[in-house]
Amino acid sequence: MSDGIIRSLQRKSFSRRGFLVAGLGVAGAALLQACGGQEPLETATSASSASTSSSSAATSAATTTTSTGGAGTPTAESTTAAVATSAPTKPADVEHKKGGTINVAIIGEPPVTADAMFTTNFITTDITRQIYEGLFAQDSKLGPKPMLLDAFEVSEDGLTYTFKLRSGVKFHNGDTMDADDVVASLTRWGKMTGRGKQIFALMAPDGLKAADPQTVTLALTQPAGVLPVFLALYEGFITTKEVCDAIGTNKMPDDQIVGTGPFKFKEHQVDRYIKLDRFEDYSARNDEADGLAGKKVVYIDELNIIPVPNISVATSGVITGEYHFARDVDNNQLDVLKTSPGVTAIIKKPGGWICLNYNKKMGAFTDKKLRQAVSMCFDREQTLIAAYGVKELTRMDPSIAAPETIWYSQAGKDVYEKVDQEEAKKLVQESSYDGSPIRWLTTKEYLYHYNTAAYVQQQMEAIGLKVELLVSDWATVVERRAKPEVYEMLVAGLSGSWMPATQLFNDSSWPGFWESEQRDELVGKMIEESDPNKLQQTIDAYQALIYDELPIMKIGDNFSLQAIRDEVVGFDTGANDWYFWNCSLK
Amino acid sequence: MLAYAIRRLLVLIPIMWIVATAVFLLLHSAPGDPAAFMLGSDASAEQQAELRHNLGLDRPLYQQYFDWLGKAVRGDLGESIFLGKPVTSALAERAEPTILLGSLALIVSLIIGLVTGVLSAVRRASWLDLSLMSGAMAGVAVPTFVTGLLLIYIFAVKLRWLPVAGYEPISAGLWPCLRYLILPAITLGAFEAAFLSRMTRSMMLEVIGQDYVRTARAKGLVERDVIVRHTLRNAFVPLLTIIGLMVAALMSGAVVTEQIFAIPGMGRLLIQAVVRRDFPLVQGAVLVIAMLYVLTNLLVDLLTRVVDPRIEL
Repeated sequence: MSDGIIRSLQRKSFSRRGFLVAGLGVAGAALLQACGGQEPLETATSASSASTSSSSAATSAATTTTSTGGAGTPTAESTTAAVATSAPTKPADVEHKKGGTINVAIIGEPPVTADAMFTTNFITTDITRQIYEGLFAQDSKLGPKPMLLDAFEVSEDGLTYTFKLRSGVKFHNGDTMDADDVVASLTRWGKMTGRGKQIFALMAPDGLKAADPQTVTLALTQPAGVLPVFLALYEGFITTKEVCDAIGTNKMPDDQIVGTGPFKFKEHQVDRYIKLDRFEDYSARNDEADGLAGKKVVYIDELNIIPVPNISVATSGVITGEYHFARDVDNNQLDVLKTSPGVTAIIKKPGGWICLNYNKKMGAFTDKKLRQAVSMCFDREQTLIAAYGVKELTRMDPSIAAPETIWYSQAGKDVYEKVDQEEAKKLVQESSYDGSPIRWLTTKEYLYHYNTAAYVQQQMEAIGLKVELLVSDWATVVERRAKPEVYEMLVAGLSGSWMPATQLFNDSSWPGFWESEQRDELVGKMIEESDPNKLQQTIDAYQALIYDELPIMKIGDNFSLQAIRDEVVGFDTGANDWYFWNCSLK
Repeated sequence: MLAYAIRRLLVLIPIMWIVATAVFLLLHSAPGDPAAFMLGSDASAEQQAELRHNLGLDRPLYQQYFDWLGKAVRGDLGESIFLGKPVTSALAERAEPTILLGSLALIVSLIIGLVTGVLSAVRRASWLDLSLMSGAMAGVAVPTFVTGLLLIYIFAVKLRWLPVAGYEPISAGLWPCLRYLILPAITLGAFEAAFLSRMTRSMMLEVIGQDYVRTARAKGLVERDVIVRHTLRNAFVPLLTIIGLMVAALMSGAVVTEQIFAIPGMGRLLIQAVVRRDFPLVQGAVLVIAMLYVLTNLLVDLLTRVVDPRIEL
């Protein structure tokens, strides 16, 4: 993603992601879990990078403004649905009691405990979110709001940002945060992350400076209205200068985990638990709690994050009360959760979406007519049901960014909704397709990949195409998909909460290999644009381009299923990813 | 016997070398990149290449092989890419849960397997034989993950007698540790017991028709002595080989069982290492497991000789 966007930015003169009801039903999933463990990376990434912008943050970049309250102009809807008999208790409804340990079941071990700059793995970002904070944080509508900032200003030309830091913010090691820590952390961010590299590619020489102990300035050569959005993501966290100097761009060892967040790292025993304690000296904001932003109060003593590789077992653990929260629940257990006393099932929105990703560099799908034919040969809803099993956990929608975000667009809806096998057959005949088998990379490690492929394969064969499914483990798919000579198509799972400019397929080196000057120009505009209306127009044009060129064909949205016990009061994370401040145990 | 043991131990060296080389070549020729797994798909090709370089994975394969082999000879199995710690420490940390689980499962399988196998043989063609062998057949046929999930459903979710999953080390106390191991031990032990039961029955039936058994009965020995002292003891020699292999399998980690019950043992470590393409960890774990098999086989051979002194080694 990042390289492609950076290239596009540089190239242009620029302006410019009953339990096994009870048994055999989940057996297949159980086996997969037993042998697998992690989500496909795009999906994992999506959970980690729920980025969204806020139109007001964008606006602030265009004019000289001083913000103390944050930026988002919410258009998003409430996004967490309790589907069981009782809904999660709203924070405002309850009185909190201090103490206790909340046990969270997660699916596996992170590649690094809490370094979201090193990896986009969703378990790492889940833990990073509890321990660290950035200059901005996502509010309940996923927009950026100041977190470690008292205020920030943007020059009239949109080229210079001045960040006024909050004073007296303590790190977990007792040090007080200052501008040097921020500069060191952002420098590491600029070296290690895709979005950081995008911003640093636009940086003026010596553009990032500590003006004084409480002030950081960031000077750009071109406007980047998206900066606050990027800095509100978990990867833009602030740690001490000492830690940055010590670890550089290497992955952060556990003994260097020092943040300013409401939880502090206590202990990590691989495959047993990651324990976080309440940070007693946490420097809370005074403004009202709002998603991941605003005032954070930790009532519980400890957060115990337990890797449970089998999601059926994790769900059972929530039912028995051993875990208070399961981050990932088997879709097939929705009905079981609905009838389990003391447990609430959560359908988490926004989630991700899946698409057919065509190889546009080599082979049959270099012909746009064939992409059009395949794109209109299969029923989206049936494919989603085949992929995920439970209709409630899916949604038909054409947008690259979910309806819960401010980047929602209906451009290309007619193409998305068009299913016509007769016309598809004609397009196949008109195309340069020579009758060779279309090689489809897929895996049974993540069933939605295989189930989608198996269903769409039939529809493709019905319009006269030969399809060969190349089934392997996920690691093999990841390696093969980088080689354009070995496949024609595959399924990709992407995030619905990302700003469209940061979608992975914008990078022409990403599997599928979409090259498009028009795309580069539109992505550049999205990065730069600060006016919400102009941004929306650009997004519409970008999405229309996707449905015209068809580098991918979106199938539809999917939501993850989570479960929480009713002993946890005040847990209502809305569109944000899970956290356990501002909630307590009964 | 000592000379035999030394000879077998010396044979261990070429076996280990062959295993090490085969595993190294297989792992490195299989698709999959640990850097991609570590960094996530959002990482650029440049970032992945940098990490591969830092991990030394961009060096020529022969160089990586000889470096690893040279260290392995000196007892250094390298560092786990994912865990960032020496492979030997990672394996040592996982030994306790695996040994405890394996031992409990072995006890379960020996008790169930031997008792049901002997009973079936003694009551051949009876309803008891039919029932026990049907049960054994089902035990062999039903995968451990199904057994495990069913046990969790009954004993953890419905009856609430035991925890669904997890592990407490023995240092936390005997009962806190055992309560997490009971269901996995039954899951694992039941599968092995079913196999052992069928083998015990077959071996017993082979021996039970022998002349010396008839002679023992003709001498007026009580049936229990005939079965235990004359029949089972003679049937035990081939069974010992099977039990030896079971011990090696159980001690090297029960992959599926450890995954289902979230037990941080060697089996879970190994499967995760394979999925993550953590080359040094897979290589080290396979070496240790191979060594375990060879040593267990040696021990079984020696025990066979103890049980039946007529056998020449």
